[in-house]
Order: sequence, then structure tokens, then C-alpha cells
Amino acid sequence: MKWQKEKLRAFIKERGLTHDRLAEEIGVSRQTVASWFAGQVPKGLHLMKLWSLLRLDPGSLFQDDAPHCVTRAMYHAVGNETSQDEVRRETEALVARYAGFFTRKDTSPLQHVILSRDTGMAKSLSVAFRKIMGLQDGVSPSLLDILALMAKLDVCVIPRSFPKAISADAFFVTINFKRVIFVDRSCKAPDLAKSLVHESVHAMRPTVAENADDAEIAKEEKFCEDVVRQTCAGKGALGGQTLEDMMFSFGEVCQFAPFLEKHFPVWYAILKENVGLLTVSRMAEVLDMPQTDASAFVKCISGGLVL
Amino acid sequence: MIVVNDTCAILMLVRICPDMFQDVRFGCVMLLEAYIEYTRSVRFKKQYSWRGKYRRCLKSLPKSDLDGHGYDEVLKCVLAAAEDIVDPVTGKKYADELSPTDLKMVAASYSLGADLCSGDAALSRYAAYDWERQVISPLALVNRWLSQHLLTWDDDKHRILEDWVRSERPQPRIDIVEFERLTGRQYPR
Repeated sequence: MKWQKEKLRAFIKERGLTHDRLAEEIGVSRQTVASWFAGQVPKGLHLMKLWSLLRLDPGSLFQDDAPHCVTRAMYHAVGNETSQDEVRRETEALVARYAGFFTRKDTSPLQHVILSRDTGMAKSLSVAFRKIMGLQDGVSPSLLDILALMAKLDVCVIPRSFPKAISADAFFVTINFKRVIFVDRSCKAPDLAKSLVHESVHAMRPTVAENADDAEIAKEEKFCEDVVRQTCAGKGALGGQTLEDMMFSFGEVCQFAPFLEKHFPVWYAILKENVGLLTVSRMAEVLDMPQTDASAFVKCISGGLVL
Repeated sequence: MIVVNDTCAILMLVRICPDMFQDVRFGCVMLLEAYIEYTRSVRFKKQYSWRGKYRRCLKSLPKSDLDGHGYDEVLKCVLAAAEDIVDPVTGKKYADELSPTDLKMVAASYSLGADLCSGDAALSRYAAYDWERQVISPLALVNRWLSQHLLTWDDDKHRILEDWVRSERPQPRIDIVEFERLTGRQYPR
């Protein structure tokens, strides 16, 4: 691993530290600090002080930031949007804001995928999904059932509001081999439930090539829809509540944390792991909530307040 | 001043001063890992056939004594830094050159604000440069005891130095000169 001077620069900028202040805090001269930014690896004890001061994991200033491996975003079929440049740009920009949370070291590039997409496989997959969710015959899954399914499949679901250009309810990408589904939290529960099942099928399938043609995409979408139809058959879905209503129906922001932990456990675990490394403004950005609420959320998940 | 001793230093010094860990004036400590190496390592069995006789002289530092000095946190950083920092002399990462016991000794010496007694060059470089520890050779520690009048030099002790010359790493020239000045004897050649 290589000394990442740019990473140090970014960390001290994020924490609003000057070179002089950093030198003072670590107990070294300004020249020493300058040498770190010029590429000189700090001494072990200075590294220890840097890790402590910047609240970083030991070793984190050496991990290389190889470009994130992000696959083509797959949408719940809404026309032919994936070919539209603006949608694609907006999607990529949105994903880029979250890519840093998914490191290659945490994810195995070897994952189970379903290769066949014939009718029989659609049936088998829907049966498997329903079995995992524990659904009885004739009962359709609720949004919360689907979220539980996502957690069991180890898919990270990130709820947030979408830019206007993205009219889909949800989309699926893999970031550094981690399967991630972004969901529009303003979407109504029954629609979102179906979209999530649709995206979870994408998550189980091999990655669609960047240059895949429309016919190939259409076949993929049809397979996903077949699975959705069979998985969501029956009665009993939630009413017209949106995910946002469910997320923010609490009186206190602190009640949001257990909600996130219960229904979005993969994303919650990632947030919890990174909580010490993020500024409040960054946390507000990724949670898509005001800074005051983000600050309260940080206190909740870092043990600052009793839930 | 407290001195953390590595296993080789212990094997070189314990016959000269069997009380080094018992008498607090010597300020010597050893980690449990070094004790285990001393007692169990097969490679020492032949070269130091007498080691069992001195086993009762050893006393390892209780882990609880280190805990109060933030040892675990320091050790985490010492291990992580060794994974990333390259030894400028060999070009290898310290983690590839030093044993887990070596790295624990660096962490212990930093936590306790102690010196480190070792003849291992890579360990000395890592501890001295990266952790600003004073690393002294076993002979320098003997000199320290002599200058503090904790030790009286005699022929039996001098004969042990002949064993050092035969089978241990050479001692630093500066420490040999100081030894000769303090004892008035010639260091074995």
C-alpha cells in the first residue's frame, strides 16, 4: 500500500484544519507537515496521532482509492430512460456521492448469480423470494416484507429523494461488487414494493454490459417483470403511504435510527461504521435530511443519546 | 528508566545479572510473549542449554500493567504502521521483517515511555525512528548498570562475554569502548 497524501489533504480540509494547526496538534514542525504532503511517509507515532486526531481507522491513510467500480444502473422499466443522457448523468452523479461507502475489501467479487432467465426460472425465483419472506399463498408482500428480503439477500437499500430527471421508483447498481438499490422515498408503498422486487431480480442476475442493446435490456426487463408478477400476486399490500411517510412519521429523529436499523440494516451498518469519519453536513447529504436532524441522528447511532 | 528487553537480550543478560527482572533498580521488564519464547522456543534449546536454570529469574510484565497505558490502542497503531512503513535499509515492510513479539515490544516500550534493549537491527530502526524509542544494545545496558554501581564485574561475567563474541551479533563499537573504560578490561575479541 502506498502513502495517500491526497487523502490526508482531503481529511484535514474536511475537518477544517490548517497545516499550522495540524502541526501543533501532532507536535511536529510545519516543515514536517509539509513533507507529508510532499509524499514523505510520517513516522509511526505521527501516524498514530494522525489516525487519532482525524478519527480514522489505523492504516486508512495508505489504502489506495482505486476508481470505484460502478456498473450500469438498471431501472424499473419506465420507457427507455437508460438511454437518455441526462438521466444517466444524474444517476451517475447520485451514485458517485455514495461510492466511497463501498470498499472493495468488504465485498467479495464472487457472488451467486442466476444465469437462466426462462419462464421456469422466473417461477422458481418468485417461489424462493416468497419462501424467504414467509408469505402464505394468496398474500402479496408488503414493502416491509420486501425490505426484509433485501436484507436477507445482503442487498444494500438506500432510501432518498431522487432528482427530477430520474422518474424511476428505484434503480440497481453494483458499486465495487456490492449490490445496491437506490429507492425514491416519495414513492407510494405498493409501487415501491414491486419496484424493489424488480431491482432485486437485477441484483441476482449477471451484470448487464455497458454496451448492451435495447433488445437485450428488454429481455432482462421482461424476466424481472415476470418474477415481480408472480412474487407480488395476491392481496394484502400496504395502502397509499409513501416510504417517506413511514420513515418520518416519528416525533423524534432518534426514532428514525431504529427504523433504519430494522428495515435497512445493510445501509445502517455502513452508516454506523462511518459515523466517526463524516461531518454532519456530509451525513445530512447522504441521509438526505436537514443538518439538525442529521446531527441528532449521529448522536443516536454513536451512543450520544439514549434511544 | 524502564527497559523492555527482547528475548535475545534476555538470553544474553540473564546470566550476567540474574536479578535483572527481580530487582526494580535494574528497571528491566519483559513481555509474556518473550517469556514464552525464552521457555518454549526449540531453536534456543541447543545454543542456550542452561536457560532452564535461569527460568525462575524471569518475571513477565502483567498485561494489566500495560492496560493502564493505552497499550492496546498503541499496539493497533504499531501493527498497522508496520504494514505500511517500509524499512529504508532492506526495502521490506516492517510487518514482514519483525515478529509479532517484536511489534508488541515496540508498543509496550512506547506505552510505558520505556527504552528498548535489543540487538536486532530492523527492530531497532523501527522503534528508534518511527516510535522515537531509545534502543540500546545489551552491552550498553551492562554499561548502564556498571555506571550505576549495580553490578560488580568479575571473571565469571567476563567469560560470558566470550560466549557473546562467539555466537551473538557484534555489539556497537561505542559501547565496547565505554565498557572497556568502565571495567578496565579488554572486551573479548
